[in-house]
Amino acid sequence: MTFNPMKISGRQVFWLLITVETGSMELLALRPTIEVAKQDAWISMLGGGIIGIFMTFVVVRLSLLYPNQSMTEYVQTILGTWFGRLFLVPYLVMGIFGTGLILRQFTGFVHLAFFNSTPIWILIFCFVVLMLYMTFSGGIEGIARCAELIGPMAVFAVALVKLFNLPNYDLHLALPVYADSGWMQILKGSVLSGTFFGQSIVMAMLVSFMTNPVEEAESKSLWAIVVSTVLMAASSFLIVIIFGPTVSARMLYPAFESTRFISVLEFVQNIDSIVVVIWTMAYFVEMSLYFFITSYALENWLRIRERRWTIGFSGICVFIVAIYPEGSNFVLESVIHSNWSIVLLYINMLVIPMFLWVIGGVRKRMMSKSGSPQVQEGRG
Amino acid sequence: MHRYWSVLCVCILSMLLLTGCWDRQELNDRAFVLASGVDKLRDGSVVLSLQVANPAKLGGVTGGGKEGKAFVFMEAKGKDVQDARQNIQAKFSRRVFGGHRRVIFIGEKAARDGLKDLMDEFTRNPEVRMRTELVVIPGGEARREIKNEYTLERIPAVAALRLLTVLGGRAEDTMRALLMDMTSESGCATLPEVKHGKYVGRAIFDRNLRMVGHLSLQEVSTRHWIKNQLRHFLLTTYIPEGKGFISVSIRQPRSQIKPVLHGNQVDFYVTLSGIADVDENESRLDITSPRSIEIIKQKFESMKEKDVIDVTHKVQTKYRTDIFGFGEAVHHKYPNEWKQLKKNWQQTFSKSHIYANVNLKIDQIGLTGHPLQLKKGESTRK
Repeated sequence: MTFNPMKISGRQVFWLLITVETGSMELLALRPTIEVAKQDAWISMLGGGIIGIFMTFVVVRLSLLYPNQSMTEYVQTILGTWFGRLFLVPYLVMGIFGTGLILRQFTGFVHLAFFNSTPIWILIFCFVVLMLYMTFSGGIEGIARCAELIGPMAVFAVALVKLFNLPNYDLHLALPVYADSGWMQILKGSVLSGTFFGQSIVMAMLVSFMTNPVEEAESKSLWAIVVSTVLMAASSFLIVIIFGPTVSARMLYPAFESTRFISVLEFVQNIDSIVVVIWTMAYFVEMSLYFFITSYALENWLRIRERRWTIGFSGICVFIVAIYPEGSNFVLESVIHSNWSIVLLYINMLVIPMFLWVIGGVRKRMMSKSGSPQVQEGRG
Repeated sequence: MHRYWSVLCVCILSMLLLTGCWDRQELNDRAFVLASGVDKLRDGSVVLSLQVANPAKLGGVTGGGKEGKAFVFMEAKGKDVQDARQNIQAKFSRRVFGGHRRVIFIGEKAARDGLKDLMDEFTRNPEVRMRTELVVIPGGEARREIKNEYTLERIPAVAALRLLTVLGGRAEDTMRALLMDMTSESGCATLPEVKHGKYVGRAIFDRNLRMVGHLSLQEVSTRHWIKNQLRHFLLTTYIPEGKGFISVSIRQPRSQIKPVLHGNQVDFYVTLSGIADVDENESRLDITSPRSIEIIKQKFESMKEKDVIDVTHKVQTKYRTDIFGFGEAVHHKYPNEWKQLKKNWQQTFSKSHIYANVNLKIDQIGLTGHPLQLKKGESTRK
């Protein structure tokens, strides 16, 4: 046992997922979805949410086959050691590249908005150091507690921005519904936003850390996705009725722009710096969670007992991925939303879990039929 | 010991990084731009002029005995806006900061040449906020207008901004409105015009963002009403029945555009409604009687209906630019037919028939019933 047997509650899982989903989507998913589905982005978000709910359902059901094991372990139980390890490679790649690219995106945004003369690698370095510290000393328990605190704040901040923008809304901008985009574009938007809702794949690891996985994992995670879906559908709708579909799609960060646009009685103005601070905290939780999961998976995958080495190694990898890309955030975004990365994400988030669920289910049934006692393997 | 060193390391690192000294920008190192002006010269180069706050003179309200002006001006030439800005910077001891810019003045020459070459900087620069007013200077240059002082406001830039709201418009919203009109499938933008510190109307732009004409203040109020952007406005008209003028102020103005499509032809039924309060009655009409109220109501309604027809006809025939949002109305009601119509919208718009209908409700008549200055019997009770 290299990791302390840390446990997280159902409520913490709920807020972890909310923080991860709304935090990243508010900044990264709104623009591309509006670009594809125009004023019907909210329908796309609802569609993406349904995809996300299905993904979450599959992942949680799969994990509940072996509630005491994390994905890195039960993959090896289901498929055997070597084959199982092979299946983990895409997840490790997704973990490192996902964390690195989101880190780069976010620091790029902070760099653009506030720290123009600070070299970007300093910002990335700070984040990586913080994530290392968080993972090393706080572990999943610390991250979950942060989420429990920061998640509500992030949701509150997003809601407050929408509220302050009340005088700027014009419902006509959301018209006509459906006719301009058509089902094909709406579906494309759903597939795109589905990759963001599919971040609930983290449940594959989180279930094994829960105190009551069997009772709480499914209900809490599905509720979290439902709430995020409603929030994001509302968010995309409200952005569209501030700036209209075309202008929103051309802005890099329409949600940020809407924050800067606030002027309540010429008194409440320029509140973007406060909102960005809260966003930063939400991003910190999100990236720490990814980082923790990646380093934990790496540890299981390499069967290394010293977690210092895996955490350090993942830290270096994430840092390199984050500082490597050249050019603007826009270029980077086009990589993240390119067709091949969407296909890869769907393979990781849906196809492999479904495959494992089927195999695992069959295997378990066969085992109980043959009468052999169920072996509960410990973690680590 | 090991722990001690690591804590020390973290402390030092925090001191270096958390204080944000890297991007330190002291208030004293900055020059706050309040307004900027953009002009174009004949050779195509851009002249940027800035109105910059003079912090030493801004101070409190009851400063008293302060010498000098609260703002300074600078101008410089350049290849584009940012290039000119760099050249202006050479004249400033402090870094020019655009985050508090309230107004951008645009000279008529620059507006006629087209805003497309100038627009980009307004939105790309992360310092600058979208709540900026764009104002065209008809028949003049921005660099002259920006130097005008304004008695009531310490900062002249604020005056231009406030002028736009007192007559019932929406301020601080022109940038967003412009961007949305610019990117829409049919709409044409308009921008307010200010000359010598007076709000004179709005400039009409075509689809290529080149200025093509003007609307007078009266026409602007009609256009705002049609576009549902009017907040309040005063109407005055001559009432022959009472041999005098009556003024009413309009509140809660609303509008509805109903397009009716037949073939390639679109008819528009514009319905304006609002509540009118009688502000002044210089006529001989006794407005306490329902009959007189009816006369006034009809008079104002027919006057406004004529206004709508006049302004739409002028724009249809002279400029052929859809500045009323008629295209969007068609888009919302006939989304499928719109895909064909939008290709040739300029033509269709300029040929469409527009019918106006105004419904006013006379509500308040002020604090006097029968005019006090008139003797009994001098007024006509209808």
